Amino acid sequence: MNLRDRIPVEPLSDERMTNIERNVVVAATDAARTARAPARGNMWLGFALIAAAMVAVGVTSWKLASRTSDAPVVATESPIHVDTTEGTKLDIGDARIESVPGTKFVVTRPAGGVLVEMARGKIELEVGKRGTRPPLIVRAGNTDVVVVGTRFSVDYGDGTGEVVVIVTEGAVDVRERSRPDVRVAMGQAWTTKRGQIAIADLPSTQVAATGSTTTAPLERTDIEMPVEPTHPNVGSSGSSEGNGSGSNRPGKRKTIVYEDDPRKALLGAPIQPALDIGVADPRAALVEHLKVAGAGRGDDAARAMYSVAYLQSRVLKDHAAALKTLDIYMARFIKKDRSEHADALWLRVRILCEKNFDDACRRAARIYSEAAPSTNKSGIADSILATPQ
Amino acid sequence: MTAVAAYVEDVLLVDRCLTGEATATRELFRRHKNRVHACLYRVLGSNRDMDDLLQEAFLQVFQSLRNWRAEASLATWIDRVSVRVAYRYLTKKGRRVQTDTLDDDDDGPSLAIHDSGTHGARRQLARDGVKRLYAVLDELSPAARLAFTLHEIDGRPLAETAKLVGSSVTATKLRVWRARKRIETAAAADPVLAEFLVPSGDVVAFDSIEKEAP
Repeated sequence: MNLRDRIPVEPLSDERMTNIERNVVVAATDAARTARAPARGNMWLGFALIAAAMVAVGVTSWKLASRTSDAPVVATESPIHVDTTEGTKLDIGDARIESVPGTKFVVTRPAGGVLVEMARGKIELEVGKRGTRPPLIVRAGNTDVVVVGTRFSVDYGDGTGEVVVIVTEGAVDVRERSRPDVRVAMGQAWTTKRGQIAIADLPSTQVAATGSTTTAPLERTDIEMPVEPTHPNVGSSGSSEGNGSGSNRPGKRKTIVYEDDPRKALLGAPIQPALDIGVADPRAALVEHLKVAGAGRGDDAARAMYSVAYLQSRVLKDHAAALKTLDIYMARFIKKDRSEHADALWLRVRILCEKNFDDACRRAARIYSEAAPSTNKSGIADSILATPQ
Repeated sequence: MTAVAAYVEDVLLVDRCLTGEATATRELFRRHKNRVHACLYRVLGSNRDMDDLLQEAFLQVFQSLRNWRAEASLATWIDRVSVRVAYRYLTKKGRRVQTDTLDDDDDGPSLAIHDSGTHGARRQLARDGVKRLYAVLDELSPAARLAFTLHEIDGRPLAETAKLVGSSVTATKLRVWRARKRIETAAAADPVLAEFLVPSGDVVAFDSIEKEAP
């Protein structure tokens, strides 16, 4: 009995098939969007609960900490003037400010934010997360240090010369004269020393020394910044972005100099390569990665999906396909902590910004900058954002 | 397009579908509509509910798309969903497959052009043979019908058929064998069916007649 190919399939008319297609597409699209909406709702509900819990814990911790702190809590709306020969510890509710002897500054609250205007000296600040509130800004001469929530110090010396910013937790944005913002992340320092705007990763020992706790007395710190820029490119070590262990070795300094042409910095920044699975042929490797990527939602799948995008973009030069893959990556894997996915977000920046800094490039740069503020590449992303269109 | 490229496209297309992108949904439908239709048609025969079944199959595909694991090809996975839809249709209590277009009075215009003389007789014989075959298939259990049609009519290997129906190869083989026996028994009492099943040089396969039609 051989019936194969002996019973032809009677085709459906175009009209019938079109009707079916229309019904299917409408129903399936609605269902997919609905399926995503509750998930997002749950996600936000989850965030809300976590945020509420964090606020509760934070308030309690803050109150408990405040009780034991010897810093006077000053929550007044009127300006606070500090100009003493002794070092001070000031708790203004939003932040704790510790100053070295001889420091002079004024704290005001313009439009719900906090402005700490320095005349001279050095202060160290510990600032809680500001959420949607206007930022806390430390102004030292022409330099504004914009804070979202972090711990850092600003050294304005005698009030006439250079400014040194050292970040020991989180990140700040530094604005200097008409230059674009520069993001200074944890473990980095920024200075205008010798008229050169420079940012450097600090040796770990120096981070430890400058990241003093509130119980240790604050001292003037002379941060040794690189005098000559080593190279305009960023992250010349070639390691993956972020907290690469090589960057914080004592005595070893990776230098970033603000690059007038951020495109050069962009092209010089390293890209995390695809996972090496021992398959030389990129197309075969791509298929192997896809098998892993399609099989789950975990870290392995995310790494595999990133590897697919890398191979498509950097090896096969199919940037459009790589962008699609990265869009899928973002939809599939990026849920809460975007910083874990910095490599993928950076690859998007690289692809989208290679030719010009258009809107898509800037969106990608903004996403990266917000997702991975503690990385050197966020400085490049910020430079892209600050470049006039 | 190479198999690799098609595979990559499938993975990416599915993810676009999952985001609710209408163009991606449409693209996936158009890529697979013919295979789903063919699968349903060969299992169920010409059927008045075909539009609903095709629609139902694709709705099931899109509902379950999130569960697709890329280790199986998308086409195979879609086939599996289609087979499940066909199985559910067959198992509905009291349901008999609503065969329609093979009725004598339902010939399409293209068929009528060549419907004359010996050629027409052979065609009619083939049409009658198919009709009687599916009448016998109506009497089989849904599982046996699926196994037989997927293997004998759709031409899938036993192993693939077993996977599609969710049975072991042995069980599938047994079902196919029993179905074949049942059909041969029916053919012993039905010369038209017998002629259709064992085509000689005088009896032309139904599809070859179709191919001759302009």
